[in-house]
Amino acid sequence: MHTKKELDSVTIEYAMSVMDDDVLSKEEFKRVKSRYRKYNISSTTRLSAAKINTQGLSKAFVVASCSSNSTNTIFSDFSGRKERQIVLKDFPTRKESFKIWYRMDSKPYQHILLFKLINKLLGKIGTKINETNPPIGYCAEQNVANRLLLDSDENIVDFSELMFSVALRPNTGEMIPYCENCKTLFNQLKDEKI
Amino acid sequence: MKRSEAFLRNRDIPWAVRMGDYYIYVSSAGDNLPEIVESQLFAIWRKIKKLKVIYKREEINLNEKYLNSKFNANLNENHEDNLAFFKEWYIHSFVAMARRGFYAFDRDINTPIKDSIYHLIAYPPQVPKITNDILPYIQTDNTPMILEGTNIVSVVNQYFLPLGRNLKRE
Repeated sequence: MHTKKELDSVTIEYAMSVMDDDVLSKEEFKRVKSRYRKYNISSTTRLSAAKINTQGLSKAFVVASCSSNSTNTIFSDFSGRKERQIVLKDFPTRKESFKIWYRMDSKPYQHILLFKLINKLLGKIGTKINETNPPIGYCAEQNVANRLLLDSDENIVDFSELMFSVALRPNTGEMIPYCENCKTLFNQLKDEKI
Repeated sequence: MKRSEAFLRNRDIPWAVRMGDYYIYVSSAGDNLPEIVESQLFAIWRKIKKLKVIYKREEINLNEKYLNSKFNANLNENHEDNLAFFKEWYIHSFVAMARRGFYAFDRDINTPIKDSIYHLIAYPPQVPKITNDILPYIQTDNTPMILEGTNIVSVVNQYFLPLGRNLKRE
């Protein structure tokens, strides 16, 4: 089981790996990175970080990490919508039956319980509840929770077990407050002070 | 090309325009983009990538008033221990652009999207002489300081709207 501080440290490292600023020359970037390393920030577990497709200079707006009481791994992910198409299949094991598989042409898949919860509490993915809230299903917290639920070795059904790090903006390191959508989905975020 | 709201809200998109003799760099932080910028985004990125450093790090000016208010208020315990680290992280991309001659702005993430406010973060010691660029151009005698505390996207849209769409000036 991980502490909040460990999760935050992992998110910081993940955000710095995303930061990879194209504007800086290689020499400048190395100097900036070496300056950051003198601050004692280290990851204690395996990072499941993936480089995002930056499409030029743009980066993901938010990154976050997630773990649970029953898993040893910390997962990290970023905001944005990954195309998910649904094809429902039957699987022999209970664990497999919690997943909705997508076509094998490598479209990412969606955890069914999280999918149902999003539909129930927020609405259809891609729509907005109101002008203030962001589009449903795009948040880094929802993406990383989906990733953990699908990829961890444990069969997690109680979402209150999930622990989230702070959400960071990779370009600047700012902490992004949890949005109302995520606080509705994950009650544990309502009490977090950012 | 009009990008979807979901794309814009989840991206931190850098863009730039030329305002009179000054060069403005903005980090969107999930905000919309001005129409003239959205239609030329990749061209703007290609141009930004080619720019060379003109000034040394020590020569760059920072908006200390805004940065002090930002980093001294409401820190959580993780950030408090590493204030200098997080401040350096925050300013690094804006300083990098200021070293290339830009007045670098950032959106205040604590403002809602529809009422976005932008702040000047870093700027060069003097106005560089840059010619033959292809950045979208706003004809004005104002300095970039008038953009401090405003919604820059609305300002840029207002400058271009009266002349119609897809207009690029030399």
